[in-house]
Amino acid sequence: MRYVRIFFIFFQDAFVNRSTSFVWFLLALFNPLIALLFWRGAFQSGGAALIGWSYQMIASYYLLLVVANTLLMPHIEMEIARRDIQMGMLSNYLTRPFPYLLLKLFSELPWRIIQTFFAVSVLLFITIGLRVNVHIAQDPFLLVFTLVIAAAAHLVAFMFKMVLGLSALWVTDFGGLSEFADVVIIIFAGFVVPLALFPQWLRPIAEASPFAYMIYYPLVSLLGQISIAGMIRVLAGEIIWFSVLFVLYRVMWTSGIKKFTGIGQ
Amino acid sequence: MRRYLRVYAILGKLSLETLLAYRANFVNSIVASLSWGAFSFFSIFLLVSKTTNVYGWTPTEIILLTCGYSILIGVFHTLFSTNFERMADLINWGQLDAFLLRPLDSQFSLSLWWVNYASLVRIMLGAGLLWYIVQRSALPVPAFTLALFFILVCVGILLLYSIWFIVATLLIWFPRMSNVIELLFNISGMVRYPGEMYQNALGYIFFFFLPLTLIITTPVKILVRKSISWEMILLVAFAICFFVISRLFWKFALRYYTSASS
Repeated sequence: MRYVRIFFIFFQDAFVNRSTSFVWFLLALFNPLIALLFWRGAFQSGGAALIGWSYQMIASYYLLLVVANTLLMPHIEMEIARRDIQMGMLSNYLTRPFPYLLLKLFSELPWRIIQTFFAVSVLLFITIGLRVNVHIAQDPFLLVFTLVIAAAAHLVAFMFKMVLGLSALWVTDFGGLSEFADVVIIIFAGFVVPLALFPQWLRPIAEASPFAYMIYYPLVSLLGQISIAGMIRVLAGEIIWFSVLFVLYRVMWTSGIKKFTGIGQ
Repeated sequence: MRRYLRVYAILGKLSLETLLAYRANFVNSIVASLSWGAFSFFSIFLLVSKTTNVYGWTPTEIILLTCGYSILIGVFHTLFSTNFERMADLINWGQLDAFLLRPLDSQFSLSLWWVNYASLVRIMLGAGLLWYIVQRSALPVPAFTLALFFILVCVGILLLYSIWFIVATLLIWFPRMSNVIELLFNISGMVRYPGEMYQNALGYIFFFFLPLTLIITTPVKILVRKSISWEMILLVAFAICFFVISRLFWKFALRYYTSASS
């Protein structure tokens, strides 16, 4: 029950800053729409050769990518690195009777919900107002399974961002590492193009990386491009990556907290 | 003017000294800069690897566009973007007063205080690849065309700066939206795609984006097609107009600055 109250306190904070959320949502909206315009031109001029991907499927992919990004991808690493570690605010959390991990999870959820609200509103406007047909899986069982995969994807992304944020305990300038991680996520989570369209030499690496489990797999599940057996494999992959990242987090937390001075860097 | 050049030389020296004092930070910034530079090429490579023609642009021409973008954005990040990030924080935390009290033009001191030398690697990356592609494709580039290309890149930078400054000025009224600078980084990324892409798809909305679409498309068109088009005149006109607007808008906005944080 206390976590519900914590959630609502953080929700109030996120709601007060809804204009900030709106700008973050615009960031999530912008790149998929530009990529979509690019593919539109490629298809119109007959210059695109995408095996198994029609224009409608590509359009659905990028439109749903906006929702997937706002819902599943947390952005806690900067707050952990800059505010909690480099400014020494972590001390406040250490004295509280709640695990740091859960506090961060519940503080981030309201931001995801508010940004997803904006994303779903735009998606509804596009599908109903502009009558653009967004293709999604028809089978209710597949849709329910997709929800499970999406929840697990959020946890994998959350654990990765926690690990990334905690790395500030060892590095004084977190910016370079964070931006490098952003670039890797954008490419390997399927923000630029679906991983199925990657060159043959790169595709297996991208598909096995944890980043594919954060955005790409939930998205192609929603599009109905994965069978039940494939979805079970995806869920198993998510559990493995979550476990690996969780163990890494515990190791980093235990050893890093001994280095933490509480006076900032 | 001479006084401002002297001040800027001192600021450049101070930035260099900071860089030498915090070498690990510099290496980190180079990693970040290289990552984004590599990303812009890699993402374009992924997009064009499955296409032969996009809005009349061949894959090689689109990659040349990315090279031009890399040079332009490298210069822009070296000179301005760190200062815009700082400007957002200063307004958000109500710390702009110190800048307004200095015996310097406030737009100058806010826009040019720090020089981010790490972004020079993006210019080198873009210029290196541009040279390689021009050599490999045996594209004849006369000295005049090359000079015109670099002049138009400078005009593009002025236009991009003015757009950023106008948007950043809005923070005087909406300081909580300090993350709008992140959005500007994203919006700047749209200039590396062919301008025709927006023209065909956005209809009337395109006119809002027209200045942005000219920023790098025009210099690269000069380079690959060697045509001096109306777009060149439009780019120069937009750059001058937007720069004047940015100055007037900033002076107007300062009347509403309260010195209180968000």
